Formats: sequence, C-alpha cells, structure tokens
Amino acid sequence: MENLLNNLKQQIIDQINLVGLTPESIDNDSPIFNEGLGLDSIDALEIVVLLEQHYGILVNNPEDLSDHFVSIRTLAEFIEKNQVSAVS
Amino acid sequence: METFNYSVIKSGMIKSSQYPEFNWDGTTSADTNFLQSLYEKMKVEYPKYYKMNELCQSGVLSALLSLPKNYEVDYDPDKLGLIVQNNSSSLVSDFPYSKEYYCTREKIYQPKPSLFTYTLPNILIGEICIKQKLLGENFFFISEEFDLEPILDEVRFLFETGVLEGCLIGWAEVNPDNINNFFFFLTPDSFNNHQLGEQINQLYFH
Repeated sequence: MENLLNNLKQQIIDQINLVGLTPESIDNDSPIFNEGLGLDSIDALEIVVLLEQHYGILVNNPEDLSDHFVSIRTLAEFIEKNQVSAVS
Repeated sequence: METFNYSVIKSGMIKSSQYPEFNWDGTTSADTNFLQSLYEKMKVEYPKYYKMNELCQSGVLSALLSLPKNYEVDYDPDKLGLIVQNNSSSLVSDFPYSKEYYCTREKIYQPKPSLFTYTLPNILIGEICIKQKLLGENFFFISEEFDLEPILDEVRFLFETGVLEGCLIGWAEVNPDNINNFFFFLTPDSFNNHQLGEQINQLYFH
C-alpha cells in the first residue's frame, strides 16, 4: 500500500503538473479537491486518464468515482480493488 | 527614499521594502528551489499555487511582497489595477507544451490541459487578480525590455481620470534557469515625487 500511495502521488504530480510539490509533501489523508491539493473538475478528468494509463482501470462515468476522490488514500484503495494490470 | 512599496525576486536574491524579514542575498543557503522556500516562509497556504507555472508562482509571490499591508481595507477593490510586462511571454510553458504535442501514425498525443492553461502570459494577471482581489483595469504587455515611461503615462492617466486609486506594476521575466521579477505599487500620491521614474529605474537596473 505504501508503494502504491507514493507512486500515485508522483503520478498525480506529473499528470497535473504540480510545480514544486513532492510525494513527501502531500498528506495521504488530506482532501484532493478544493482545499488540500486544490484540484478541480478538469483535474478529475486527468486523474481518470491516469487511472487508465497506469492501472488499466476504465472509468465510463467519472461521477461514479466521487466517493473515491476524497483523498490519496481513498483513491489508492479504489485502485487496489479495481486494478487490472500495472501498465507502468 | 522611495515613496512606494516594491519587491525584487531574482534567482539568488529576494528583496522587499515592506517585508524585510524575507530578504535573501543568496549567500545564506544553497537551496536550489528558493521560490518554494519563499512560499513556505511566507506561509501563503494557497493550494492553487502548485498548479501554476513558475511565471505565475513567482508573480503571485511578487504581488504579495509589494502590495501595501492593509490594501484590502484602504482601497476600493474595483479601483485597484495591475499592469505587468515581460519579454518572453509564456514561453516557460509554451516550450513544454509544444514538446508534448506530437503525432505518430497511430495516435495524436496532446498535452495535458494543466499545461495548456498556462500558455498565455495574461494568465499571470488573472492569477494575481483572483488571489489578491484586484478588480480594476489590468494589462499585460510584451516588451523587449523593462520600459517604464509608457506604463507611468498610462497609470497617471488612470489615476487622473479616477479609474484607479492604486496600481500594482510589475516586470515578470521567467525562464527555466532564471527569474527576474520587479514589482511596485503606486498611488496618485506617488506622482508627487518628481524623481519617481528615476527611482524606479534605479531599483530595477541596480
């Protein structure tokens, strides 16, 4: 789980181009959207792309993910349950 | 003696007329990411900061260092303006954007929206105006070099016609290897100083 959390944080930093942040500086349990990382709806779509590219998870309706888009940890738990194969 | 607030953020130097506690001459630390250090020292806590490119990050910090401490109380936000100049526009994001956009026979690779957002220089004034609630006139000029006279003429006109009561003015030149920001805040009273132009140029060029 710890590896997944760190990889996921680095992938989000790269995908959303978060300038100046490192995986260590992101709290696993802080909110991803609005306060916390300050992401928005366009970033949510970028994370959907990330899930497909890195974890083989196809999301047909992004709104279904809202319960999992709370924090890095909830997103990692979702990946653990739904991961098809590690693409990278 | 200057009659206006100003700040300088350069790679290797930070100077603020009203926040000397953040001044840095580049000799006390080997920190390669001095902008991030400044952000943390200033305790800004603005999550959107990390989504910005380096041009906007440094511009937001320059604005914070240059605006008067009580500007939100002392000025009508609708009469606070912002004018910024630079030489290289948004090239700091344009180059990575163009690098990511390429085609193969099978697929067209498109850059991330988060990168595309910053491929216009006036996003900088948008970010500053949103964060600092500057709701008056704003302009972004591309200029070969720091060119003060036309900006002072414009600001003087905006003050004389009552459009603005205060104006933050900046030079924000950022590339991957270097930052050169110089911001200052003027009010109508600033023009009572007959050496205003000389003093500003002196601060920028020295």
